[in-house]
Amino acid sequence: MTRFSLRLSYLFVFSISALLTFPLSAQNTPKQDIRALKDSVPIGRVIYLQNVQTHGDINNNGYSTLLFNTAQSIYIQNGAQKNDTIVNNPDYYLPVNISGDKEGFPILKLHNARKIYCKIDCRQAKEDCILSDTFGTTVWELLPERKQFSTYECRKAKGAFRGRVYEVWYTLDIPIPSGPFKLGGLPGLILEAQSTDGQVKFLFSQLEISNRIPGYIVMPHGKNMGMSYKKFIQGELEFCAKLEKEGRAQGIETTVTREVFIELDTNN
Amino acid sequence: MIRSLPITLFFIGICTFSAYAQIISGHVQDATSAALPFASVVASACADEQVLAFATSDEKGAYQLTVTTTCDTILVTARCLGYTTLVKKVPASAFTRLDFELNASVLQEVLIRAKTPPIIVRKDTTEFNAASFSDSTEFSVETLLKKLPGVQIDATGRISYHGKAVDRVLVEGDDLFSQNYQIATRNIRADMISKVQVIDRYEENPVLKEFSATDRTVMNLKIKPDRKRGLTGSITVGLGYGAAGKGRGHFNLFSLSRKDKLYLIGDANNTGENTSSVDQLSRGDPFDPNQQMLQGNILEKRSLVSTPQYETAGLPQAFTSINRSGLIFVGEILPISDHFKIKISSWLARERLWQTSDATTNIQLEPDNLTISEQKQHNSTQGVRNFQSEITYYSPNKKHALRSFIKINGNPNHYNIQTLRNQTGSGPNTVSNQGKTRQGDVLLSLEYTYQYRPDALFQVVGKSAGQQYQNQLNPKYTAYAAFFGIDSNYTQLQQQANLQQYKQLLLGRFLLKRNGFQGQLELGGENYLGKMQSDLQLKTENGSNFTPNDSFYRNKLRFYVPRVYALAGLSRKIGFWDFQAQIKPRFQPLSIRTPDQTTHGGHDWALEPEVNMHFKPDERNSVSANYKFRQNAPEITSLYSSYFFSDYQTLQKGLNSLGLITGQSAGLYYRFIDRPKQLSWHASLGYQNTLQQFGGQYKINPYLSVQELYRPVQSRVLNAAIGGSRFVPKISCRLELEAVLARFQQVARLNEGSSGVFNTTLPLVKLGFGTAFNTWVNVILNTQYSLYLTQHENNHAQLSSWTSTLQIKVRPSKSFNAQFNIYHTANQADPTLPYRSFLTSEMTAAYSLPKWHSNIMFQAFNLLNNRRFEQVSATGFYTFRTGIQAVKPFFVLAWDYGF
Repeated sequence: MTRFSLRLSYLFVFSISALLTFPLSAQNTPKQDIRALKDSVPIGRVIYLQNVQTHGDINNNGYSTLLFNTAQSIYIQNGAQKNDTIVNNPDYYLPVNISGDKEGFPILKLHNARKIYCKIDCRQAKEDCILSDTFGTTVWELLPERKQFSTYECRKAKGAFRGRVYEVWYTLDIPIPSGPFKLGGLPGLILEAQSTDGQVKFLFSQLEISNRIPGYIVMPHGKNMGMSYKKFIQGELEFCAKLEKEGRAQGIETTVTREVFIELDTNN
Repeated sequence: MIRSLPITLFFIGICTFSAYAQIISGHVQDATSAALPFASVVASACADEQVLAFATSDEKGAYQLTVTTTCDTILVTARCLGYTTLVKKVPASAFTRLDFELNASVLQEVLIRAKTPPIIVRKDTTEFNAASFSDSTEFSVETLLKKLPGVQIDATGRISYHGKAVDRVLVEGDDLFSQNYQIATRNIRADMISKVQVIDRYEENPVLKEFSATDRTVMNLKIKPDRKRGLTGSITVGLGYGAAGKGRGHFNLFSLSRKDKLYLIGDANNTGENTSSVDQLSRGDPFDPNQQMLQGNILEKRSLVSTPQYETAGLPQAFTSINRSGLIFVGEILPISDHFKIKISSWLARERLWQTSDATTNIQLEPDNLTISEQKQHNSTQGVRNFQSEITYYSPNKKHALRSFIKINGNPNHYNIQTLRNQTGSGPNTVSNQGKTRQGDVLLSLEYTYQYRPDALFQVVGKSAGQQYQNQLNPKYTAYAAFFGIDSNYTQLQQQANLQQYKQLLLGRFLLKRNGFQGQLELGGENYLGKMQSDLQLKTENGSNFTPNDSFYRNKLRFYVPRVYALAGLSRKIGFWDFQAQIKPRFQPLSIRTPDQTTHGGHDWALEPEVNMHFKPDERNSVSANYKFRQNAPEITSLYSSYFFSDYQTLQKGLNSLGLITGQSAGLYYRFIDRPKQLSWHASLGYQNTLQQFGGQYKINPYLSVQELYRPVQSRVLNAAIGGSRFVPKISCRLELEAVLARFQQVARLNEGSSGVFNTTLPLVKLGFGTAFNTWVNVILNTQYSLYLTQHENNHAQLSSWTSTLQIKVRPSKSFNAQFNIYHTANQADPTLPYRSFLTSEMTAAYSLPKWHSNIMFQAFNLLNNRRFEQVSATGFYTFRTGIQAVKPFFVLAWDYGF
């Protein structure tokens, strides 16, 4: 065998092994792991009318969709703009960026793993970030009130989540522990939820259970930050404090705060 | 005893507190003994099924519940989607092991919908759920819109929302109809619409969205998802009889399943449907002085001869004119890609109208009164041919926008009015007033916008427009001979008039936003060329011609205005306040060329300042104030130096000198609107002052000699308006109120003589009430009272009129509905005279055949069999009485098929 043919055979073997191992190594990344969920096909869909008065979320108002199956669910804010836009907000002297997302800032919930993966607009990456969170942390008080949503009998529950108290209507007839936004952890699907301060409303609009629901319950696209929502918020608050400190160092009394969102804090 | 007390209390506690902390655990599996993860296991109390504890099975199917209860028995239920639910009753004990075996079941398909809220407010969009306001008896979108709170539609089909005019009506976000949106609202079927969106601060160019301070309001119609098919629409065919045969055909054919959408609308009738819509369609797009809209015209369409208008007596025109109308519309949306779209629309319409009327004028002359009575037969044919296409390209990053628009429009029309005139002391006299007009116009627009920084933008706009107008006036009138001082056989006049206008515009606009400031710098150049010529002849019946003196009755002029301008504007937001100021210096040498000389205007420079202020403390309240000063070039139609007939009886001459026409206007506007509650109030105060030049004008009257007419030199308008509307969702009712007070003052001069002051005061009150009940009956009531007061020297005249429309819809069953429209009109010329009052009505009954996707409709018109509608106006000097022959009663039976 000539030296040339030996080199060629090495090159061939290397190429084949690279071709075989590259997809495997790619699959080993956490992002690919999460997207390759076993059961991505939804068996049901709830459409809510999202009406949130907080500054940070008001631009996502409109209809929103929860796709679910027994193992997982994904909440999509259809009212969100598809792209980022800059608007002239009269409350500010500077133009304000309104975040948009083609996927509608989805929130993926893995029911038994009690995991949430949510997409948010972040300054750390050009694309939107994926953060992890814990699902089903709300301690619900199960109340005796009942209400009929068409053929479904719903029961009332009350619980605190991230600085707000929510009153929700869930149905035992659909044994899915999910609901709008990050809410969940009840023995049935939440069909309607409202915060007691009136700032956050997810009103029931439509429910469909079928084998032909379009769409998939998959990991949202975006940069997986590998950090929790709580850690992210801590970082944001530290960043605001740093800006304030820098301002003061230059002799400017500065107050830097985050916009108000649905989640007021990171408790539970 | 004391030592044993804690033990005693412990036992008492044990005995009295009988709640158990019970642990229930087990597995959930399917019929093949395979573990069933994600199953919900719920423990509930036997008595009221109150949930005591719940858990979800893990990947091995295991679960565990910790239950604290006072019950003797507990219900434990295991549920999993796609499996049967299993309930087990277990006695309360400390620890229970409970396994479930769930059998697979077929997943039951479910679809339930909540009642959609009637109104959803989101940012600048107010969305009305059509089903909440519809009782499914509405035929066209217009009838549906009339039920929406805050929406008002006038007799011509123009829409306003909370007192603000709606500029466009889009279908699925696409503008196919431009200004002529009546084509959509009067022809698209109401049952195709799922939502109506009213969008405030609408900006058609997405790149400009954050820079533009637009105040446009548009309406968007959303088609029902189940109607977005390959072919959907409706066909209506009807036949009827009254004084003559009646017929009606209508179709909507839409193809909406693919990305490209096709709209085809057709209508032909002689039953009074959409009467006068052709007149509306021929008006075209409005002149846009600021060139903010792609479709805005740079040329103001002009006409030389006024077309006689039909009398309506305050009623829909269908009651006073017989029609024969036809319309066909084709619209297509071609999305080449996500960013590149072509919109093409074209319409052809033709309408013929007939009206029979009479008029009596009593003039108090010393020593006797003079009475002139006239019998009129008026008929006309008017047509519209329109083609337009808009091509838009937006780059994926939304930084570049390239848009173009082309419009070609033609409006042929001719009219013929035969008048038989009788006067005290003379015999009958016939006047034949005939005219024919051909008009066409073209508009080309090209616009490029580039946002090169988040806070800066550059725009280039190029436009070119042209108009050609030809008129032939051909009346027969015995008074011409006396006026021209020729033989009495010369009774026929022939006037040929041509008008051509061309305008080109090129502008560059730079917008910058920084630190709360927004600046605008605009540089532009315009070129205007207008040509007008006319000549007239008089003829006898045997063909002899007479041409009057050329210099007096023949026009030929060329009006040329090149124009260069700059516009500098600055706006600043301070808290809730928004201030805008702009100034527009312009160099525009005016020149007219006539066959014998060329004249140049003296004022080449013009300066136009404008100031606007806007205060918006919250989402509901806003106050605006503005002031404008304008210096415009005169219209070509008021510049001709020789006499010209603007109608068969009026002879006028243009300006003697060339100069700018100045005007100023100021306004103050308050608006309160609570969109979620649909409560609104608005109040406005406006003032306008226009200085004009004047020419000469004569009215040729065979009985009262040639009369000089006053022409305005200065006009002042002061108007105040207040209005409000309220929708109460609980009772599904709306109430609207509008009051307007307008005062016009005109200083006018006779041709060479003295000036006079004319004052006109016009108070007007409108009231509207409507229901949107989901029951068997619904009512809409609109009523309007207006008073017209004029005063010139010691002459006073007044006319008060009151018109009301009551629409009652009855739906006793799902398959049958009937609608009664009752119209009331009343007028009074003098408080001492009684009101002349008329009541007329029409009705439509429909029986639906859902199995056949059809409706059978019966329409009856002028049910009360009115013969004549009369109006009187009077001053101390004369009384003028007009009567219009009513359209005779008829009925139509129609079949409507929807698919």
